[in-house]
Amino acid sequence: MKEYAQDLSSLIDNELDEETVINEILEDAELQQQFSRYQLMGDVMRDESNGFDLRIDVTDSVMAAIANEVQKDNVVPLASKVKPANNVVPFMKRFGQYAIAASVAGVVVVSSLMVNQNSVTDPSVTPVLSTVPFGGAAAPVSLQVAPSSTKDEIKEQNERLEALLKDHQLQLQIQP
Amino acid sequence: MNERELDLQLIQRIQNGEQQAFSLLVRKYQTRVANILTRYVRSTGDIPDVSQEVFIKVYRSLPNFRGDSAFYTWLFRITVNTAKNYLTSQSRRPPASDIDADEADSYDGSGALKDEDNPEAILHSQEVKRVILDTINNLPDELKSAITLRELEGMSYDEIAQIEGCPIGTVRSRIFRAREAIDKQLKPLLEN
Amino acid sequence: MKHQLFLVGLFSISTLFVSSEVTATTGIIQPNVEKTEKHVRLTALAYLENMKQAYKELNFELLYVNTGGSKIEPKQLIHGVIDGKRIAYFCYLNGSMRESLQFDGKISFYEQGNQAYSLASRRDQSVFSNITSFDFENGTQNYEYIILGKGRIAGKKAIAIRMASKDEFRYSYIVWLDLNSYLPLRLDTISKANLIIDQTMAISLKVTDTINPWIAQLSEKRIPEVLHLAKMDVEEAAKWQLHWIPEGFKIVKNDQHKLMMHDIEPVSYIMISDGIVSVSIYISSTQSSSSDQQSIIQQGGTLLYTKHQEKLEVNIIGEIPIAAAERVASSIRVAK
Repeated sequence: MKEYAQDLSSLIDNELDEETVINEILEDAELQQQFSRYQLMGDVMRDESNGFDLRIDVTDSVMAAIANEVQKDNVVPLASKVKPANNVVPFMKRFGQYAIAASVAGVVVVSSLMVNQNSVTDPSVTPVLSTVPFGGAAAPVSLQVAPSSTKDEIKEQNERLEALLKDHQLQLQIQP
Repeated sequence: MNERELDLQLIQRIQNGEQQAFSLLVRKYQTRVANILTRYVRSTGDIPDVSQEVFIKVYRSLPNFRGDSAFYTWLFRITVNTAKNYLTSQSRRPPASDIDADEADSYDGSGALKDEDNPEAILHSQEVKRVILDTINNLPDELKSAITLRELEGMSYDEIAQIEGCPIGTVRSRIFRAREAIDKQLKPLLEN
Repeated sequence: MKHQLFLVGLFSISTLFVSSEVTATTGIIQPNVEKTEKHVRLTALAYLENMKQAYKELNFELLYVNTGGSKIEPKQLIHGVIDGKRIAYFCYLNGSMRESLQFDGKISFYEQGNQAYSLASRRDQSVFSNITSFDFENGTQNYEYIILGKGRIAGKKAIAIRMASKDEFRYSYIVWLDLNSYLPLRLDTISKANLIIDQTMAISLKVTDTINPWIAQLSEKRIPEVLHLAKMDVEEAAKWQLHWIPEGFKIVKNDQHKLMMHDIEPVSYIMISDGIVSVSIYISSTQSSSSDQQSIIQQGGTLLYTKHQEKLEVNIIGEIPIAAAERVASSIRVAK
């Protein structure tokens, strides 16, 4: 099966010269599944997979329904072949919009504001960063980070805070 | 004209009586068909039935497919017509305006108050998307770039090779390796 | 100064009363509306109680903005009552469609590009729900209600009432309500330093005698299936105890659960609420050994407080001052 995988990939992209791999796929259920998954990747990348259950596969039911309908032999031969329409989303901006799914409507998005402070002896001097609440031009006041934190640590911490914030929003919705 | 155009190869096989080849067309397009249907079908529970109807119609109409337009454009038209018939049969109005095939890709259906959705499916589908997109994001740059140019920009291997300044064979193998990496994560998710 | 304000107040109330008779106010139960004397003498508490009732019983459409977050987003609320049951439709007016509908113990979310879902939610989730669900009478233990004066919000004559916090563990508020319908029009959250840190303000308010026919129709629609959140084993829960929470707050939730789409590690979760604000407290173990480190993020009135202590991370999220979060965090102990 492995040996056909790269051919399968080329076939999908209309970049394979020999047709024999189609025969192989049609005889191999595992390759058919792989074919489906390869297509799904592209559909997800192009954001063409929203609002329905991705597990649903109608192939079998369609094939069962047409099983008794053989196409007539007197078909009109394919006249001319034109360049396929581009089914591709113009740009890849949509990328990553699912970074965090299951969003609850009205989620507050935290900007990358973070202040770390070592052992607070006097709580009154704990620095607080707040966004400007008025005027709509809210911007982080400043960004201070404890010297020990790396960019990755901050990113990780921010992701966790965002997850917590979303959970908080969710808990508010289902509050007794 | 591209001899290697998969759709045409499959259609030719079907027209030669090799019915089984149609299953690959279904596999190839069923996600996109379902995606179009979400704009018309108010209840997601009905999507599998309407999808099935679309593909049966496509199969029956294949003898009339003359190849003077891309298969996807033709499929799109059948999908929209089937969806409209479905709406009429449900005596519901179609959404605000009709959509042309050309606009299909840029049109963003509104999520306005649909009924009947399955939460478990939502979570699963979101997980599937997250895994795919995360894996792509974490691919080595040359793989990420190759798969992106192919899937999002629709470029041929030749065009990608020119952009990346590498042989076509390298493009072929990079795209395959990217898919293989994603598949490794995706396969277990879809099997459960 | 206060005295002067009061006089101005009296004057405009009496002029307002004349106009309110002409326009014949609707729906809201206003037992004393005919008696000028009573009307004028409404106490701050009575205004607040009227507001509470109006918000629950009237059919209205509200357009508003909130300026607490990083950007201003105009939003819409359509509220109605069907056979004694409240229905609330919410929508973001800019950008992608994000809508919700709350009716009959369930709230459904509809977001462009995502599948819709519902949650079981008996508690009102609409914009002014917190301030209109508060037990104002018992609230006098922690707040003082003061009539500040009058103004105009969203084209309506409005009265401002300050809910002044009696301690440093909660914010103060200024509530503006429509003198005609008693519906809330503006809510300012005020810090101890007397700064407005969060503001929700109506831009337009329309009160109608009958329910908006469109949302009446929505009430008959089938809603997306209700999503139930997985709970962890009960024996694992309640590992932690809070030895201090601000007066007037109660523990309303105490469980262990996983965060949506994040770590696999469960967190211990406690929610405390005083009716106006609900605060989430997360307690989880952490690898980092850094002790006594804390970080604070404030966005509008919302505080995200994080404290590391002894391989423990405590996160507190809610609309409370830092002082309250700090004291709650340091009162956490292992439950016996």
